[in-house]
Amino acid sequence: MRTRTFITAIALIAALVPTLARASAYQIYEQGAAVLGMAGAGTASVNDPSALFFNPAAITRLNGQQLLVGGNLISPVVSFAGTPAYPGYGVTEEWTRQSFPIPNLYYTYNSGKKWAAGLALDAPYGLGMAWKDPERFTGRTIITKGDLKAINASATFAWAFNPKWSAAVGLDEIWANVSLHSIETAPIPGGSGGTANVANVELSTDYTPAPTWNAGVLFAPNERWRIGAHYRSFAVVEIDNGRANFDQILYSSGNPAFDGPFNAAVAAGLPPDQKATTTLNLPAIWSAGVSYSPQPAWTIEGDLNVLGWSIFKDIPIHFEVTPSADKTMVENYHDTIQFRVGAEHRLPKWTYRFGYYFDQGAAPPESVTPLLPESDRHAGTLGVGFPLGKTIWLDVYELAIFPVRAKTEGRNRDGFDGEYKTFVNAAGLALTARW
Amino acid sequence: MTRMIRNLAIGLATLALAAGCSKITAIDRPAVQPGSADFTRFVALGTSLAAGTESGGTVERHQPYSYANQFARVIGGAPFDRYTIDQDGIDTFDTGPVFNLLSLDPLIIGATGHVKGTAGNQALATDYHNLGVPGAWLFDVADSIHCYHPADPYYHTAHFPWVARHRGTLLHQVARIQPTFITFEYGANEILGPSTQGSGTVFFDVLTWSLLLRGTLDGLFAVAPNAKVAIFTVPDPTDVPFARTFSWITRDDLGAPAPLIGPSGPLAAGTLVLLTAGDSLARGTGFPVGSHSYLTGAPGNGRPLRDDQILTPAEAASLQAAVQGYNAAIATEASSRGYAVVDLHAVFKGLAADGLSYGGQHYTTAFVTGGLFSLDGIHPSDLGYGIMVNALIDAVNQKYGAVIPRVDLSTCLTASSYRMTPAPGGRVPYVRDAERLYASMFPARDLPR
Repeated sequence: MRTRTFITAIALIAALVPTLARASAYQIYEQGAAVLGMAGAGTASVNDPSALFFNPAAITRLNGQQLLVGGNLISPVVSFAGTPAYPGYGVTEEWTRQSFPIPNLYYTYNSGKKWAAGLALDAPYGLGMAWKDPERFTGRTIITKGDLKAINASATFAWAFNPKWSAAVGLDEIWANVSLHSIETAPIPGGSGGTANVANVELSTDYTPAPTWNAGVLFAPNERWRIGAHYRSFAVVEIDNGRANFDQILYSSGNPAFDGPFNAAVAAGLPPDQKATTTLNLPAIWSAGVSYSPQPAWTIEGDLNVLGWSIFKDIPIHFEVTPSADKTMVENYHDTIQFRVGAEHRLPKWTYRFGYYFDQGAAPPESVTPLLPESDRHAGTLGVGFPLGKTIWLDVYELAIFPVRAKTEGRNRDGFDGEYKTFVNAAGLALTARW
Repeated sequence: MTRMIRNLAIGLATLALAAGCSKITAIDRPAVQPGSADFTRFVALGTSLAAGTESGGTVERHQPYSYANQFARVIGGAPFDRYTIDQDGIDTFDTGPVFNLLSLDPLIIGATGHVKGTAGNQALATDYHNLGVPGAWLFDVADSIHCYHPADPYYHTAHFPWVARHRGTLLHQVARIQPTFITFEYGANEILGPSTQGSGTVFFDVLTWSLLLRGTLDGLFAVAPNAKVAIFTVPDPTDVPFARTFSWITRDDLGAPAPLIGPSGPLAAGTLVLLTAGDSLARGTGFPVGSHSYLTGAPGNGRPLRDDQILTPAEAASLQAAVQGYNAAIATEASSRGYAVVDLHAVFKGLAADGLSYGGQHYTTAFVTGGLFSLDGIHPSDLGYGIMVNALIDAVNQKYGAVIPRVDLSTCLTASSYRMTPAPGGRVPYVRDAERLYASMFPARDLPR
């Protein structure tokens, strides 16, 4: 029964799993409403089951059994203004406005002795985007729509060495899939100018698993101070179940002398539908945080995260039937840092939180693309929490992310140059049951 | 504290609302900053490339894309008068309209259905600023005798009277305009003339041409001493589709490599078979018996190609040496006079080697299908001209510290019938009746007497 419940939960998460954009490249840090209320600064002070994500060593400090069911809604707004060489001045584009749900589920059990354990289902990576009016989008030969979905399941064991020190190790399995859409074009024959859309191209994969792990440590020298550190390993997902589909779009100019040969030429030049393989690199994250309670009702925390984006060198795509069509999308991301600071004030009947973080962009100008218009980000958050009865606690947060404009500086690898303006709004809640 | 939280919430919400609701505004073309140059009066001295010739002739639907006309538009403000040719244009000899793509499969290029145009804007009371003349030599800039007279045996282009309009030499007209900025682009026709006729002998040896260049530039300085100048290098004639489309080698019916046949027997490796050989190759001429034409499948008849249909490696090397000499002279003069150098030679080399990836398409110098050259295989397409003007802009920006935004190449992706996808399994494209059509582009011309 428990197995069936677990599978059901996975299926539910899979159905709802994020195609999120612009949290931090394709990393998703929005995992717990209470910590997010403090701008994600929770490596040291987290005190609900989302510790399984932020620092599992903290679950030794959670009493009894606790279950957190959370949900986030992330709404990116992205627009683009072109510069030379392509698509040139005066061109603007925008993403279709979408909101992406990100569910998460965390369960912890404290033995009452020295050990604790936890199970988690969450989505630490994801990406979702779609350009408006894809048939006309000026970057349609690069990407029109893209999704990366990743579900992470983990089992964690934590040990309290003494009242001050605890540590934890979690074993994770990530299931990831990816879907990329673009449109092939060809010069229009016969003098009508421009290019014609000649094929829809889709690369899609099934969920593919990859093992990974995470570990954390927590030091609480006294009631006021807590120091935490957490490492979540990178993962390399070797996807060998991809499919590449090339669906021709028939062109019609009204001149049969051109249309027939043109469409025949396009058909002859299109690769057949076939199997494709790719590799997806998910970065590691190192977190260190210090929290301080100047008064019993107050906690403030500062975190420093380092993200190993340098693992994201490229996206190699291999076509089984037509290897000559293989391509490698070079990314050359670099490692980045995040500063997160937040505060929590616990009032008799409710709690409020606020925070700020800076998240460094990982992409060089060459890799600022219509798929991932990466840049530095600033974000501010507010959150509140209050009890719903004796055993249920509700946390809510609102997060506004303000990326700086992402500029290709005329160096985009695909020759698609310009500036991207992005705003991301995230809001979420978490219900935590304790018994 | 509650008030602080409320204010924080209001502030955050306001910021979020402002950020979330506003789409990015379009980025406008930045204003031109001339640096040490002055674009108040701009004059273009040059050849068919300045005029905007494409597909064997000149026509108003392509003229605006010449590097000179695009540059004038980019710098803005300066008047830039020029001649226009309506309808379907006029070839170099005033014998017919420009070429047209008539069919993809089979590939047919011709002038059928096109209407020859007439030269317009001839009554303008002032001098043209675009003094680009199709077919012009460097010699023509200061020439006052040969170029105007249809009866003169050295007369070589119908366009000269339409551009110069008997208002004195081109230099005289420059003197009247007193330009503050000049583009100077000559030398290509001196090389293309022999190369398109299968000859490796240039009419002006390097020393003569160098002296002519120095004299012409001295004359230019005399009449427009304060003008800043951008001077173009001469492209390699073997980099264009005219010389690069047909292979010198085929395979016989047994699959063995078989060189085509020239006037001296089997062609040497690397021989360039010119577009003018198209009709011959289509009939099987030049193909050994026991092979078939790679254009039409006609059986090889064993008859040789004519000397004027090929450039032997020695002839090509001779032309390239002349180009190198011309360009060395250009570099020397530019250096001593402080001119900007537009390295058209390097631009064409780069395009021949790598093509251009732009807007999700890869454009190449392939004849008909490549997109960078027009149907004559020598003159650029509208897109090719866009690349030229950007090279000019880069050179001017670099030399004079100007900030001129590059031309948006998407504006050059125009109604160019030769940007097409090759037919499936199609053979190498060739132009029917090519010898007659191309004869009007680079007619034989004797040295001035």
